[in-house]
Amino acid sequence: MSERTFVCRCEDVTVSELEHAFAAGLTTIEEVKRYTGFGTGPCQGKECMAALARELVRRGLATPAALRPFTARPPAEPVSFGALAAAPDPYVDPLPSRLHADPLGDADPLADAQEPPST
Amino acid sequence: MSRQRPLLVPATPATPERPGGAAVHLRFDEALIEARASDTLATAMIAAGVLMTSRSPKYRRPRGPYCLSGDCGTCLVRVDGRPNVRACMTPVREGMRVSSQNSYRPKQLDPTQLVDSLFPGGIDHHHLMVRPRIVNQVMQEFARNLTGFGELPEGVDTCSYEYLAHELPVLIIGAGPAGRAAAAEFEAAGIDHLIVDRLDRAQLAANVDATSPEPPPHPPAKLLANTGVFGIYPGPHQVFPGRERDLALVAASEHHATVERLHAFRPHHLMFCVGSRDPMLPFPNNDLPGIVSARGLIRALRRADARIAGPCLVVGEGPWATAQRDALDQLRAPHAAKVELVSPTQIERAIGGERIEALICHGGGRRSCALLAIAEPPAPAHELAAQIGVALRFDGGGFAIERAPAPAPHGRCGELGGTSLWAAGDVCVGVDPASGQAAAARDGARVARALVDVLAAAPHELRDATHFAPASPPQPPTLRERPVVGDRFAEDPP
Repeated sequence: MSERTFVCRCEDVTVSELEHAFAAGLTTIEEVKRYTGFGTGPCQGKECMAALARELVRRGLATPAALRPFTARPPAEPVSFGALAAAPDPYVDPLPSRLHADPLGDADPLADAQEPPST
Repeated sequence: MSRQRPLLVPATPATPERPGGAAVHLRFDEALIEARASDTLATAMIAAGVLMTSRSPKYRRPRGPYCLSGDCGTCLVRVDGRPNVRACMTPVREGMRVSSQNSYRPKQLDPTQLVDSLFPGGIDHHHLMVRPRIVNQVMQEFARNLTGFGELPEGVDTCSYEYLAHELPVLIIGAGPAGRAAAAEFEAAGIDHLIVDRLDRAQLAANVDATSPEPPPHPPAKLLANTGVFGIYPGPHQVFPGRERDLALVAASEHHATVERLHAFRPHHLMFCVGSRDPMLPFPNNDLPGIVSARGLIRALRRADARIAGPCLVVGEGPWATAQRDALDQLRAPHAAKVELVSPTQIERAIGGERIEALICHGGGRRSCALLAIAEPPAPAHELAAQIGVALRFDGGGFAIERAPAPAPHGRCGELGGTSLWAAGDVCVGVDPASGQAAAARDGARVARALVDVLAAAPHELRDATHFAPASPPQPPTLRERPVVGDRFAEDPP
């Protein structure tokens, strides 16, 4: 295996790629993201953004006060399209007070859903 | 190094009184793995010494679980035909069929692994094979087919979906020490609230440090486990004149084996107790399977009631790393080698293939290890707060929430429409994760008391929580079984 030092393991961004970006004069987190693609994988920066910020400060390329994270967008946790399809349209549907208010019997939000019996 | 020897062993032998010890069998690619009911998929695989779950998208290098707490993206596996399932968040079930993603089988002969050797200097996508255009097109087509995340799910979706809306005085995100302490305050003050966390109850119980008097040992009464908040949005009507004070919408997804429930919360007060994450430390070959986060490993071992059986090293310096090393050393099997601490400055590189074999230190020293635990100071989990523009500041570790200064109630960090925002615990500036769970718990309780005072002055916000389920919820279209050809569903017959 070649010897590589990774900053972002989701998108395979190495320290040498960061150095290319720094050499091109890109020293904000947003710019480095756009140039190298770090933070665009499944973790969405949860693992790598702090590592890059620490690297920028360590090399004196940015002051802590000037550092800003890149834009955070939903979903921050996985959600399936099926679940999203179960949501009523927030503009068309009435406000919750006019929704059918199910007493908490069947749809108790605090009751854990049934796990299937293990076979 | 022996590949047969397990890396983790049960802390206590299985007995009928301890069902957590019962054997569960699952298949990972070609291997049959025997796990215990208390295992997650990730701990079962680590225990069996199967550390590689996928190949990386670009250089096609072996990858395995790192954070063991649901943050990183490298333990994604295919479970019973469903792609991109986090192994560290999935409890094992008898007969589970698990396969690795993004690798061609058999893994040892995967021809795409040559990419790593062919481009020792790296692949610079700004310049490599950009011209002439035809070469670029061929290369793009090749690269697109080579990589990606998982393949389409098999067959019909067996999951059912539900929707629940809630309007409530207080919603707490995160059932760690700060969230638990806050929930206990609300419970005592009789304020209706909910506390949500993406982890399951077993993992939440394992995460509480048993040695400290705080946070409260019992799980909060109003806990929604397995529920990950994925987005916070302005209320849908907030754009209309006169509706600017509508409540914000907090969207979360509650995952179970066969049911997924979408929650839409409209809280008067939203409290971030989301804690911190474990970042990666840069050193050569820091991506080898077997390199895991120290805190994640400790929590996974406690949850699975397992002990380290293979050689394990901790990388880090300072009190945080020392504390992690001590905790891991408590969690090793009696016959296993002592868990030792290595300073990051000593490391020249890590070596190994499908799993880490050793650390090469400066000066030529070689330290064998099967697990390498990274103990970097944690970074605050700022993502959800950042979505709605809460003030953040780089505090040396990561981006932490900057709370409003003194005249404002302690913990207040902004508002979104009619929802006021609060933060407590590790995610805030000035709360150091290294000072332990008790510090976060004290902060959570203090913020909750400030919030209770604010609520006392606003009785209209104190009404009990209401929960709504639509009478006839929209359902996703019924899925028919269609064969998958290549990377697409087969076309409908004419």
